[in-house]
Amino acid sequence: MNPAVTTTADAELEDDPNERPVIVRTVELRKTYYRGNTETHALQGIDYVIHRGDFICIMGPSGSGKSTFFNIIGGLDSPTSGRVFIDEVDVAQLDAHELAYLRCRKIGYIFQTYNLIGQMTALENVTTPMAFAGLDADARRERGMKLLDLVGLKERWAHRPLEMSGGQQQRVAIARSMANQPSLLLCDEPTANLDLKTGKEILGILRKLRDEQRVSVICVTHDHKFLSACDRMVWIRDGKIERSAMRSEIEIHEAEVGGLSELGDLSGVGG
Amino acid sequence: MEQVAEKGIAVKKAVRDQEKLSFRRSFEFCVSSIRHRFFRSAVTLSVIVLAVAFLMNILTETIISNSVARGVQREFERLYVADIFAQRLARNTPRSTLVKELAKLKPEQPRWKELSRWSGSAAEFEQLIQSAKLEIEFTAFFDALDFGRKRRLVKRNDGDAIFEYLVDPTPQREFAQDLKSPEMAAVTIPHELPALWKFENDWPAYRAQLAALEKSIIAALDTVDARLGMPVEKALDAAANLKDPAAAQARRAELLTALTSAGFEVTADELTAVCADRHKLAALRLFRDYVPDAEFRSHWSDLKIPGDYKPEELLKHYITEEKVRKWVRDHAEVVATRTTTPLPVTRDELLTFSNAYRVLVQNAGRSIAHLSDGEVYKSERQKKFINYIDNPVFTEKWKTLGLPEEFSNENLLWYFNDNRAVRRWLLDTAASLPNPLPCSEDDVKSLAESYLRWVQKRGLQKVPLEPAAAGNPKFEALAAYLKDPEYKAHWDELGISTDYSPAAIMLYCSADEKSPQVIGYVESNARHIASRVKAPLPVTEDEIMEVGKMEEARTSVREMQAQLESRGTKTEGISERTFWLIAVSFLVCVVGIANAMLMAVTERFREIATMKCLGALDEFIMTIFLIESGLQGLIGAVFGVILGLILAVMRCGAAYGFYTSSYFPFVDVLKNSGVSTAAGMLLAMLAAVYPAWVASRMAPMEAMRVE
Repeated sequence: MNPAVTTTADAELEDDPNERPVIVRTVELRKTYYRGNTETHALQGIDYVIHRGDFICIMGPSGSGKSTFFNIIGGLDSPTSGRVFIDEVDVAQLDAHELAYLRCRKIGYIFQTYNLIGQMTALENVTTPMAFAGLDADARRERGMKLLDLVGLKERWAHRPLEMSGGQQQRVAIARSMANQPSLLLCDEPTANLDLKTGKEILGILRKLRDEQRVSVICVTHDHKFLSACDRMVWIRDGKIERSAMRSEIEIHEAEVGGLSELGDLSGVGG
Repeated sequence: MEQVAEKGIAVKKAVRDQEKLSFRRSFEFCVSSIRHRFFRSAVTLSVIVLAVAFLMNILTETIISNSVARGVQREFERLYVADIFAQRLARNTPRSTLVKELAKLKPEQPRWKELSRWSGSAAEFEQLIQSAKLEIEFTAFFDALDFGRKRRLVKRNDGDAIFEYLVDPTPQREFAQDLKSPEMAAVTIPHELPALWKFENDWPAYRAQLAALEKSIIAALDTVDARLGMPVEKALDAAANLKDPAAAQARRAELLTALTSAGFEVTADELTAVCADRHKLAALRLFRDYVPDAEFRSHWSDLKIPGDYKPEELLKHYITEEKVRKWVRDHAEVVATRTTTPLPVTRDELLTFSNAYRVLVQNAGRSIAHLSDGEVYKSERQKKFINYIDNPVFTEKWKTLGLPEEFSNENLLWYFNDNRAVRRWLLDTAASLPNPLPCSEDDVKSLAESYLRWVQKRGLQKVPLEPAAAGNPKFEALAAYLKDPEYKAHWDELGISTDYSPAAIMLYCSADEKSPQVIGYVESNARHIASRVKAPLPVTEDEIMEVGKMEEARTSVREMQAQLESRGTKTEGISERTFWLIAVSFLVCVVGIANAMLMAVTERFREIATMKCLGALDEFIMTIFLIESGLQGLIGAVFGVILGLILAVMRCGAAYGFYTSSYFPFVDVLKNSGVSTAAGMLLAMLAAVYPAWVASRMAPMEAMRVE
C-alpha cells in the first residue's frame, strides 16, 4: 500500500480525539435536490470533522438530510457546494477511476439489506473487493478466511447468502467491508433488519473492529443500542447539525432514552 | 495546510492505477452469474431463440422456395418441350388443335418454319394464319352467346358447322336480319359483320388449305417413318430406352437426320431433352388417360376425400397417401379384369361345354357304376330300401312310367332326383303294397344323390377332359386354362368331395346344386389369374409418384410465384414482400432481445451499485454485461438457427415434397445460418450496451434506490 495513503495506520489511539489524524472533513457542505420547480435543501452547510478511530452515530428524523450527509462523506454522492476531504483528498475532484480506488480501499460499506452478491459464496463475497484491489488469489483466500474468522464465520465460508441468516449475512458484509483495510466504515442502518440479540452482536463486532483495527465507524441509525456503543452522537435536523455530543455527556440520561424519546430533551441536557 | 494539499496530490497520483480485472475473471464472473440466475437467463435466452428462429425461418424458407422454384421450373420446361414435341409428331391431331396452334404461331418459331414449309407460298401461309386467328375469335364469340340467341342466329349448328352453315347467302341474310332485332342489341361481332362475311367467303378455300396442310404433315411423318423403318413414336421410345450412351447418341443422330430431312425444325438438344423425359411424360399421360375410367369415378367416394373425382386430385392424393395408392391398385385390378377377357370363353360357352361334358361323364359312369359295389349306401335304412324294392311289383309297374330303360335299382335312383313322376310312382307303388317304405323319402333322395356322385366319379375316371374337348378350339383352350394352379389352390374352398381336376370343374359347373358356386369360382379365379399375369396399371407406381410429385411441386411453385408477382416487384431471389417480411422479423429480433437485456440489467441495479461500492470500475460493469449478453446471444442464436432451420425445412418439405431435398441450397442455407447467428449475438450485445452504460454511470446510491 502507498505509504502516503496509510500514514496513520500504526498511529496510537490517543485519548484526545482531536489529536488523532483527520479522516473525513467537510466544509460548508450543501446539497440541493431539484425536482420540477421545487427545490429541496437536503444539506444546508455542514462543517464536520471525523478523526481516525471515531465511532460516530448519526441520528435524525427521516428527511433530516442524514442519509444525504452519509452518502456524500462516503463518496457515493457529490455535494452541490462545499467540499469533502477523505484522508485529505477532495472527493469532488476525483474521476471515476479514483473514486473506484477510494471506495475500494479507503471505505467499507455496510448496508441495511446486506447487499451480498447472491451467486457468490461467503468467501467469494469477501474477496471480491480484494480482486478489485489487485490481490492475487492466494493472498485473497488467506485474508478472506482471516476476516471470516474475525466475524466468527470461518466454518461457513462456502455458504451462499441465501443459506445464511440475516445476522450471518451482515457479518459477512462486515468482513467484506474490511477486505482492503479501509480507514472508514460506513454503516447504513446496519441493525435495522435484525433482532435485538443479533443487533447487539453486530454492534459488538463493529466496536471490536474500531478498537482493534483502528477504523473509524460512522453509523446512520435509529437504533438506540448505539447510544451506548458510540463515542459521539450527531443529531441532524433540517440539513444542519443540530447537536453533537460525546457519549459521556449523554450517558447519565440513557435510562430516559431507553424507549423512543424526543431528541430535544437530550439536547437540553447536553448543553 | 500546504502539507495537507501536497499529501492530497500524492494520494491522487497513487489512485490512478486502480486494478482492472482480467478478462478471464470477468468471464468466470459472467458464467457464474448466468448459472445463478438460470431461470431468468433461460427466459432471456428463449426470447433470443425465438427471435432468431423467426428470422432464420423466413430467410431459409425464402431461399429454399426460390431454389425449388428454379429447379422445378427447369425440369418442367424440359417436360413441356417433350410434350409439345410429341404433339408435333402426332398423326391424328384434331383439326381444332391445329387451328389453335396456327393462331398462336409467331414468325420464325421452329414450328412456324416447318408449317410454312408445308403450306405453299409465304403469302398463302400468312393468309392461313390470319384465317385461323379469325376462326378462333369467331368461335369464341359463338361459344359465348347464350343458348336462345345462338339458336336464333345459327340454328342448331355448333362449332365448324356454324361456319359451314353461314357460307350460303340465304342464312347470311337471315343472320343479318336477326342481328338487327332489339334482343340482339347487346351482341357485338368481333371486327364487325363485313369481316365475318369476308371470312365466310374465304371459308372453303381456308378449309382446303388446312386439309392440305394436314396432308403435308402426314406426308412428312410418312417420310420420317419410311426412313426410320418404324413409326417415329416407337423410334423415340427406342432411343429413350437405350442404356448405352453411345448407342443412344447414334440413334438420336439418326432420328435427327430423318426429321430434318422431312422438314421438321428440330435441334439435337431438343431431341436429347425429349428422349430423357419421355418415360415421365408417358407415365403422366397414361395415368391421366387411364384413371378417368368409370371404375375409379364410381368408387371415389370410398376414399372420403372431399370434392368430386378429378384425375389431378387423385394424382395429388396418390403421392401422399398409401390408402389412395392401395385404392388405385385394387381398382386397377378390377379394371384389368373387366377390360380383358379373363376366361377364354363366355359364361354361356362355359355352361354349354360343361353340360356336354357332364352328359358324356354320366353316360360313361352309369354304364360302370353299380350299387352292388357297395360304396353308395351307408345306412341300414338305405340297405333296407334296396331290399324293399327288390320286389316284382316294382318291375311290373315301372313300365307304366314309359322310360326307355328297364327297371333296375340304379335306374330308379338315377331318375329319382330329377323326375317328379318317378318319385310319385315310387310312393304310390309303395302305398299299394302291404308293407310300407322302410325309410323316408329324404333317405331315398340322399341315396340317389350319392349314387349320382358315384356315377360321376366313375365317369370322370372313364372320360378324361382333353379327348372330350378335342376338335373344339374354345373348349380346348378352356380345358387348358383350368389347369392353372390358381384353380387347384382354391378348389377345397368349394367343399366338393371329388379331388381337383379340370374335368371335375367342368363337371360341377352345370346341373349340380353347387353349380352357382362353381361358376363363381371359375370366374373369380380367372380374375385373379388375369390380375396376376397382367400389370393392372399401365405404369409403375414409381413413375406415377415421380410425375405426381413434380406436378405437386409445380403447383406449389406456381402458387408461390403468383403470390410473389401479385405483390409487385420481383427481384432476383428476394421479392419486395419477402424483403419486408425479413425486415419485420429483424425488427422483432431487435426489440425482443433489447427488451430482454434491458430487463436483465435493470433488475440488477442493486448488485451493480454494490459492486461499485466495492470498487468496481465502470468498465468492469460494462464488460461483464457485454460478455453476458454476448454469451446469451451466441447460445440463443445457435439454438434459434437450428429451430428456424428445422421449421423451414419441415414447412418446405410439406409444400414441395422431395423436391426440397433435391434442390436444397446447402451453401446459401449455411451462409444464412452464419448471418443469423452473428446477427443474434451482435444484436444481443448491442441491446445490452445502453442499459449497461446507464447502469455503470449511475451513482451507487441512486442505483440502489431503484427497485
